[in-house]
Amino acid sequence: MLAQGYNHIVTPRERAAAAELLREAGLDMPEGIDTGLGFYEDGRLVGVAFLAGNVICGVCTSSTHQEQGLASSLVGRILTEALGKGFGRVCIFTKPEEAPKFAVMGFHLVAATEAAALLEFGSPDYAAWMRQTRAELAQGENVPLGAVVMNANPFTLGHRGLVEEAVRRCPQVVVFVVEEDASAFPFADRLALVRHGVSGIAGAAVLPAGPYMVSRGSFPAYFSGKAAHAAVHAGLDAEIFAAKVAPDLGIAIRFVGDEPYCPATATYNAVMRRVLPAHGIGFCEMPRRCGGEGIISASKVREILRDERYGQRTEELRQLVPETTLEFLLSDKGRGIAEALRGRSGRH
Amino acid sequence: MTVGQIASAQAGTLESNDIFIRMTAAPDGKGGSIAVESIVMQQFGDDILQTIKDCLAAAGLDGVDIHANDRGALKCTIVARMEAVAARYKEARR
Repeated sequence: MLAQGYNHIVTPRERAAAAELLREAGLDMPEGIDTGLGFYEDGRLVGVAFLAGNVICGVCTSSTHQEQGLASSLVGRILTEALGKGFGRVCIFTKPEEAPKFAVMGFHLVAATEAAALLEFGSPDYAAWMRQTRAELAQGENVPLGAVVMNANPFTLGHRGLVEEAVRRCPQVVVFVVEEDASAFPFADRLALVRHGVSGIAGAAVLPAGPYMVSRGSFPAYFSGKAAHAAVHAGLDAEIFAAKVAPDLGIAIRFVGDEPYCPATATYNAVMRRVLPAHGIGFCEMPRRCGGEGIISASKVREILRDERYGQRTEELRQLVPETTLEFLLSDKGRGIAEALRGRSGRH
Repeated sequence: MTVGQIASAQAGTLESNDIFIRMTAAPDGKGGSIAVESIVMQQFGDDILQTIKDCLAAAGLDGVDIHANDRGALKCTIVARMEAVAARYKEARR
């Protein structure tokens, strides 16, 4: 074992030591890790930092090694590693009290709550994303703008119903499609299905959600499904939306469908109901549309796709999805996704 | 290191008294820009910028975007980091 210095966390023993260090600090091993870096002293692991995609997380130093610049040093090293991998933008998910330490390194704060903070380094940063989103939105002056954020995995009649209901209450509605590629349906296909699915609804525009709405940086538990973390992550995601995205784009109200199935999403809705109005942003939760037996949900669609003979269940699918989505599901590409879904566990 | 078709390189660290510099090919290979962030921006921002410009000229490079995060590096450190990033960039570009 390495006596002194930096070393990547690779072997099961190293991972166990890292998990123990995190546990002592009251943290869990982060999910979806690509790289872990540790610092050893006298053969003992005393500091760790991890990289999941372009998100630095799980930064932790032993209680005996606080305030010695170790955390900054680990983050600096893992950051340069991430940039070397080709990420132009790297963010860090951390506790709010740690944020100033990373701010002096050149990280810029996106948003913080009492429980979590998100900072970013490099480009394109939030300001660049906002400029581009504003340009693409090109909304009318002084028209109240509503927003819907959806993963649409895949786009259903429930999603369409939500957008129809939203434009009935708000003349202009922007539909943000979650950009993180962590779902069965790739982002490009989800975006295309939403665009086709809402075409014909006057007043609805469709845009990518970027890295600031339900992304691995803003809401890691949405993808891992860890209910214990959902409230913390949802709080940060809601804060970014309510304090930054909505005021910067002139969004007055957010529409969501109610969530009877998924605990992480139900928590998200509950948190938004509290956080959005506190920032003067409206929040409107609407009942889900029914179709077939009970309410419509994308998880029901995915459940049918897990059946090898879903091609013969088109009538059932037609109760859940619009023709544009059905066509895609029956295409070669759709069949490929359904096949991959059969080998996939987890929520997405 | 090349990202897609764009050459890029980096040198330095984010430790105190060091500077971290990234260099990427400017879009279309024209123009180029230099962005400096420093904890001593008010006192030494102009000096840091001038040092980076001089190093670029010495390396015979233009049409690159530079992003520097300075944590109080001495001029000799900035020059050393610029030499390293320029050499790495030239290798990545080949």
